[in-house]
Amino acid sequence: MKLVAQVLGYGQTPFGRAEDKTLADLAAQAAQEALESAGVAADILQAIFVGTYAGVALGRQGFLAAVVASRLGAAGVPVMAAEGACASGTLAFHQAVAAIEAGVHDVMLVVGAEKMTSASTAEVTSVLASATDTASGSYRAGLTFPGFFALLARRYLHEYGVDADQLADVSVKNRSHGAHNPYAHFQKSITREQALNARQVAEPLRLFDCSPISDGAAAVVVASREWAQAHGAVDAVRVLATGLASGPVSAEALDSFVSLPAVVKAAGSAFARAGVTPAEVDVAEVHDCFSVAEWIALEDLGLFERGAAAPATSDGVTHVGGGRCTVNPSGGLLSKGHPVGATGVAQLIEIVRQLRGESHNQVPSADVGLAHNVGGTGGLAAITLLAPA
Amino acid sequence: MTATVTTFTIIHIGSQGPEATPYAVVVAQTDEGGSVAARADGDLSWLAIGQPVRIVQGADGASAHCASNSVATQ
Repeated sequence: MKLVAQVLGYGQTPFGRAEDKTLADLAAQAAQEALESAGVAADILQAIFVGTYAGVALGRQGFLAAVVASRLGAAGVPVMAAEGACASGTLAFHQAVAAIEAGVHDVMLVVGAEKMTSASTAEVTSVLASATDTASGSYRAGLTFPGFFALLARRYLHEYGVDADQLADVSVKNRSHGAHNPYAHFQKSITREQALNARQVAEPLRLFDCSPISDGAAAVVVASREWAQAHGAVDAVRVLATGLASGPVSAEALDSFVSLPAVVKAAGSAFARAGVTPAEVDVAEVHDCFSVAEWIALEDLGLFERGAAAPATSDGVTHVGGGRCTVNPSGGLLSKGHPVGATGVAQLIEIVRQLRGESHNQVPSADVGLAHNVGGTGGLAAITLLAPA
Repeated sequence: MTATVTTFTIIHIGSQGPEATPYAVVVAQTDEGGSVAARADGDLSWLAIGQPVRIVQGADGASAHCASNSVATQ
């Protein structure tokens, strides 16, 4: 029989520029805070899973999982690293959940971390752009990730007759949410005019449509329900289900530019396994690496009909207190920042906070939460559904 | 190869660096089925979804370039 995995505690560094900290410093700080939050000593961990994408290329630190174990004084504990581009953190979390559900381990630590700001913007853009099939025509033509999501945005606006100015409503919402999040890279609201007057990055996406380059780390302690009960854990959050799928790894491999098939498949799998429907989701953290990505995510997840996410966002439906599923109460990647390997774990932390009633942007009576983490051109999608234990 | 523009973007990243001039990446549906991605430079005012284009393979056989129909037929 499959065991139930629970999140017992979490830790997170502030996201942003951490000039005085290395990748290992950040990862160890978040890990230590997660262990203290869960009341779990490092030496009783049965495994540590770490998600990072560019540890070597940007963070100048390989071998991060073993380094984290060493920093925690947990040398000897089995370690594993997961790389799934921007979904690396959730990929590590899903492997830990699978190990719990299979009865392989009872208590584990999951860490996601990235150190990016010490590299130039051009270097970061180049490293991130390689999260695709580098033999593809789009990569050879010089397609960047802002460019990729701009391709999606152009088509979305065309297919649904949406005004390009409505893209600003996503970033204005998420910046307003992030203004209340002390861990966010940007903690200041912006106006619609500021968003619309910002410089172009990849048309039709402007500066505030793009998530920033950030440093940061996030960590959670995961255990089986039986282990948690035996050790007196309180305020645990249950993993209802995970869904993981791979998908097209270049722009030209997509059949549609308004949907990422890996998300549809992973979400379908997660909802089926959890026995809940999209309509039951009260709060969602979705991968808004670019503003248009939030619209497409909400539709691929089944939270909104095709073409309905843009007007719903403009109408305020997805704001905290908007009356339906609240989207990105943490501020999302647009405001919170996007230290790639840490992003997925930080999304899970916000959902755990919501389900415990301790978020800075608390959604009343949140019973079901969803985290949506995507890697590359939708080459990997990792969906997690959570509920109070 | 003839094709029709499915979507496109004009990339401004690095406009102060080596990529001093914005360039376009175009994904187009080809008349042979399937999609192809290509790059376009210079005057990009002709770019629009649904616009017929010609895809020209680069000298290395790998890169592809995209030209507006009017330019390609001159």
